[in-house]
Amino acid sequence: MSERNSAVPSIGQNRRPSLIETPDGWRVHGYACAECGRRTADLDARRCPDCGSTIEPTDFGPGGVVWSYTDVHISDRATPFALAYVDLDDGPRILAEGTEPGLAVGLRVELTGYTDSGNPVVAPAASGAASAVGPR
Amino acid sequence: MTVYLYDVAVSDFGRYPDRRIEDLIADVLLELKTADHPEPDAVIAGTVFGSRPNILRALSFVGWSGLPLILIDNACASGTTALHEAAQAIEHGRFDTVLVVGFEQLSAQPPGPLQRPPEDPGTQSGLTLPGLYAMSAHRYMARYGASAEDIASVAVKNFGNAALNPKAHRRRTVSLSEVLDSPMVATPLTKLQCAPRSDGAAAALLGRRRCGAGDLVVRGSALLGGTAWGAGERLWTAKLVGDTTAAACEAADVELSEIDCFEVHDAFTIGEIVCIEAMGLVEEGTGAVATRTGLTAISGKRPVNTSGGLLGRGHALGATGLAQVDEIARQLRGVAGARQLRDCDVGLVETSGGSTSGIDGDSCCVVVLARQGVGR
Repeated sequence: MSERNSAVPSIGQNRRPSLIETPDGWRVHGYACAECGRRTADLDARRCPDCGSTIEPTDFGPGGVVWSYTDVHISDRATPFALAYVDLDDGPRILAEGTEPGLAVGLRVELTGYTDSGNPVVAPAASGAASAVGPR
Repeated sequence: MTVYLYDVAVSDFGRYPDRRIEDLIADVLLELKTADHPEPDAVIAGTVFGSRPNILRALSFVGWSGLPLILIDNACASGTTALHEAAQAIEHGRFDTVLVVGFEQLSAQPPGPLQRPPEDPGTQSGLTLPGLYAMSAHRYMARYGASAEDIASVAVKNFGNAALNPKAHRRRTVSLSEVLDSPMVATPLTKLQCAPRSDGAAAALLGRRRCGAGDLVVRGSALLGGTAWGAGERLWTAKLVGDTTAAACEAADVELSEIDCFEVHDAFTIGEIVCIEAMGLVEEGTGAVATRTGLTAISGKRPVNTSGGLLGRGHALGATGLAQVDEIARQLRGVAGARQLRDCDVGLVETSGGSTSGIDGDSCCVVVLARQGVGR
């Protein structure tokens, strides 16, 4: 049985990724599957969502690459705001908020904390070169 | 055993805030009631925001009280799932004749994108439904070099088809620039690339006994749930749509190449592109350009969404799947009017539903319909 990851602030009804600030930057609590390598940031996971095997608590980040993004223009919230699926380095794909609209697929980003509403935030990394995703 | 589709009835799709949904449902039920079919011995209904009283009262209004009711919420795939479950129940001998109903009144919902469940992490992060599809669109553009214009061309095609459909919500043609210049919803998707929030009701009657030469045949169907999603390169719902289509074709004993017309889940323009690639109608990465160059037009080699699709005919969640079935039935019977295709013997309906985080779509349902005497 895996040890449960009990980090804050993924408490109460918040289901978003749980972050912690470390000397090496912000990191996301999650799990890694020893069998298939799948990563997840869902703290309620008990087994690997892909293969059902045992998972171990692991932290990921702060670096990652934008898998895709959108600037949301119609929402209950003040708009526009940027959201991105970010593939954390050797980690899971998480949904994060950009510091400003206009991210790009393949952009290197870093976790920089939370929004007031509790969303993980990413900003372009200091060396923000895009990786190759282009047409093949 | 053969499962026959006797008839389908669909209301106009549109915004009817001043009509009670029971009124819309009763109209379509009456269309089936007056025709020459066996009486149903069960009702399977699909809706997302609608209620049990809605359907029970509507049934009583046409004298169909007392039937066992199974009510299904399978998000946008609710109506298609209801039809699949009816066909399965008949096939397995549970019921002889089943009335399938789908209904929705989205004008009663708060304005803006449809509300996603508040307990979903994506919802909590502010990811709207258009936003979720927009993620697929941007990834698709980056990976395959498709342009925003290529993707938007789905809307131009489907609005054009809807303009020929008297029951459609959006009955007008639009130009590519109109689509691209409409208000931005979630980049790169503009308003005219998002299905409208429609009101509508639809019903179908299926059974084991052949009633006449006009009966259609449910050749096969499949319902699958999405597996874990959130790693790797495949776009959201692509695996689910591909797997479900393959399962339905196997159940129907048809090859994709034998299918003459398709109604697929185009809640957003990129959705249709992901669908036709996942099904195998076109190669991965070529769907947007294929759409722009006419492959999937009524005049094209592989017509898709001749009804106007969810984008043009409209999207009334629970009623949508049966409206898709209605279009295929019209094409197979040769009564599709200005949208009529030539030589239409076999058609396919695909509906995807739900946006739960971490899953490749909550569910997908695919139904293959044919004229009697067609196939092996």
